[in-house]
Amino acid sequence: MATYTQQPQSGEFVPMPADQGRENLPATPFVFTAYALVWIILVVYVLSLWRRMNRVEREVADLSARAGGRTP
Amino acid sequence: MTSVIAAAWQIARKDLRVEARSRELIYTTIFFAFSCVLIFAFAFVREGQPIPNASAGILWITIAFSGTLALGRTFERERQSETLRALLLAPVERVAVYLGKLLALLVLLFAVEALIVPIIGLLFDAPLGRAPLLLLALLVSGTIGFGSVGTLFAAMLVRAQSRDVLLPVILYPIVVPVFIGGVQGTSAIFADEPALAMAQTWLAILIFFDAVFVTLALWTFGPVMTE
Amino acid sequence: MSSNSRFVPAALGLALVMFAAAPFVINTAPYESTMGLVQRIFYFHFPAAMSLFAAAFTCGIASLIYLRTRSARADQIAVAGAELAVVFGIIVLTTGPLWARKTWGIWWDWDAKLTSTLVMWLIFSSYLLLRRFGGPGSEMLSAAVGFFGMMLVPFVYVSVNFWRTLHPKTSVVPNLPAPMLVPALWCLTAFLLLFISLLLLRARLEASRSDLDRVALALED
Repeated sequence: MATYTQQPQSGEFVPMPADQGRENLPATPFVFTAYALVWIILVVYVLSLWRRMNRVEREVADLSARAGGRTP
Repeated sequence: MTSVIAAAWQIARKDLRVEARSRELIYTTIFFAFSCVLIFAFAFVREGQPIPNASAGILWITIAFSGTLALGRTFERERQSETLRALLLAPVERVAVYLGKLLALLVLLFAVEALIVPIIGLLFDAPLGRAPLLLLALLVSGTIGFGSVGTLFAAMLVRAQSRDVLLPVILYPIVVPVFIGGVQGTSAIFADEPALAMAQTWLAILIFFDAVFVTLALWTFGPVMTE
Repeated sequence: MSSNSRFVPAALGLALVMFAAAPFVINTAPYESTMGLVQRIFYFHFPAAMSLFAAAFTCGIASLIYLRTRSARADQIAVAGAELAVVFGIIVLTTGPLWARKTWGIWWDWDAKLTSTLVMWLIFSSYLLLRRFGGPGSEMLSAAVGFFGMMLVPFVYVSVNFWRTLHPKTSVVPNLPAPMLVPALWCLTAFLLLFISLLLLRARLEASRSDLDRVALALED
């Protein structure tokens, strides 16, 4: 697990060297975001598919009701 | 086979003759290309000096944009006078129609490039004379690659809605390898330490692309243009 | 069609179960030595990339078939493939940079895999735009785009690969040690099951839509 390893040793702030800062980025937010994104994108897509299928079925029902009402 | 080429040549000649009379496309495309070069030059100039290697990129972006403009305009003309449909109904091989349109477009684009390349050489102090044949080969094969897919897509879109914006939308992603090859090859020639072998490899990739995609376009043109 | 209607819910259900179990399966894998925790993203990123390729080739082949035969079924599958390519592409193009940011410090690099994936995503997005805004007759046009798009993938890969590369080499997966291979294959199976069931569902939606259009048109007469 990547963690912050640098603690201030004295009463002053010691700036982290630039490249070390990159290696010490905690990994958890990235992993969490990545998995969350996968789930969200898939769920949103499946829901959109569901919604579109329902809409088409509704319109088909509408049309067949209209067709049933009129004599062709 | 020869009849196809003869027919294609006839079609191309017709287009070129129409263009020679009005000269609308050649003037407007050249002017547009020049404006493109200027706009990009202003974008990529630091402290009065152009960024190194910007010239290769600017050249090919200009070809992309002017080419798209020329394509759109050529087929708009066809659409307005319904000549494309007439052509397709004529007892001419579909393939000949495609080749004829492609040939006419290439002549136009080569004419534009013949003017723009020296201008870029002038404005950016680009070493045009370093490997002129290689540069010419890159330009020719890149333009053919762009033109072959562009002619197909522009013809396809003639009766579609939103065709003006859809042409670049569907064309640019497909011709990405042409522009990678063109820009990389050209900047290999223009670089301070020229890498001519690299440029030749890019040329080979471009030629391969052309061979494959001209064939695919020839093959697809028939089915796609059938009503 | 009846075998279809039994297969889809079954595949979808199985995929969902596998997805739910995935975190546990992934947890059994050891941490990668240099990348640590963030390498876990691989277990979703890699199957998503494979699904993207599957979708792209499905669209390409279906487009080719449509170009030759004008089969409505081929067109429906092509549309479904393109849409799934865009969806899985979004997954790949978001999880990848998240992984890259932690591991290499940059969100994006123009290396072969990233750029080819982006271009592929653009091609299939343009396919969808063409379908949506091109008006009647876009089936044929988009088939040409789908087919060309598929044929283009090796070109983009080779040209960008030649240009620069940063991505781990493709040989990572065959050389995976067993404890990592199992979760990778698990997730890959889950994703591919999901891909196939969504493909069939989306194709069915497309078929219903064209039926609807036909009936609506007939009614207007």
